[in-house]
Amino acid sequence: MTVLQRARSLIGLPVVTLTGDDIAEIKDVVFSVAAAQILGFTLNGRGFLSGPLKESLPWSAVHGLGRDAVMVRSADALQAAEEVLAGASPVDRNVIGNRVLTDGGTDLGEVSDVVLALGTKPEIVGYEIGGSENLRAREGRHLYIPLPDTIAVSGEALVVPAAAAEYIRDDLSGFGGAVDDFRARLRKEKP
Amino acid sequence: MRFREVKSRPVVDLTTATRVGTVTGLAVDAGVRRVVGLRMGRRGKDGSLAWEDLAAFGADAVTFDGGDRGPLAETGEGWVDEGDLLGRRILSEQGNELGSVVDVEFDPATGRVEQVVGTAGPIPAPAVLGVGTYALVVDESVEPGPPTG
Repeated sequence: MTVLQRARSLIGLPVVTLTGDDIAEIKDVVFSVAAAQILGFTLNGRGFLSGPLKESLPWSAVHGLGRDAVMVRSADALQAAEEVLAGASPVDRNVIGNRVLTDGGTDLGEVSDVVLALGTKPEIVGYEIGGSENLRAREGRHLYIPLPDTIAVSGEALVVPAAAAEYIRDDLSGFGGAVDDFRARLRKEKP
Repeated sequence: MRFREVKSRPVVDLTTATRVGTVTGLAVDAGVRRVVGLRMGRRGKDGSLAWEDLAAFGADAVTFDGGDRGPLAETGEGWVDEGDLLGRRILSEQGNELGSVVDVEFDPATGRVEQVVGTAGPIPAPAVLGVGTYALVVDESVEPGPPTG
């Protein structure tokens, strides 16, 4: 069973080499909306007095993403920050806060986080959304919508197929099943 | 044989037939593949012996041939002391915590590490990718082999 995790909960996790050294910790997650992927992570040093590092961790250099650490093959995985972030414009990078609309024009709220499937080949499987009049989650819960394979970006809004709205869930553990069902449906609908 | 069993075992010089100290800890290489030496006295202050210098690792004593050695040398380049190993966090190659190190099992005839005993169960030596400042990293896909005799 795939373990799902919200990308922003990676913040603060140690970056550990395969030989067991903690070389940094996750400061922030950098997304590319247009490519619907994570570009990489900005980093802080380890230790209470450590500030941000000049280096960042590109997504391609992540060996594994787990509940307790982000694993890299070696310290060589860290690269100059500008190179890591070069893949997207500033607007592109900011998926958090974007509105989500269906192609039928229904407002589904704002993106508050990105949901990842963990493991050695981590991938984005959906968004956490909230704040829409049209959807109401149970007390204290967030809503999750699976990611379709194409996302249209219109200004600051992401446009998703109306079908995706049928797979919205408000619990992360049940959301894994919804992702699988949504993808199976997309595969069936492909010509 | 386990690290915790070896504590307080006497170390005997065969040439003089005298006890020169007591084992307070063992050391391994960074890859946790073999025992590379032992320490005597608190924090190794009574000296260290490299594995190659030992004659035998017996159930009752560890022996070595002092010959015309002078005072025991301060060896230990690249050694990982058991203080840095026992209690160390165990992390899977995928980034999930698997408990911590409780003990290490090794072959007293060769010094080869056979398994690392963790709070969640034994880890066969080939699964250990290394030990560093933060954790002992383990490849979870390596299955334990048949038990050794």
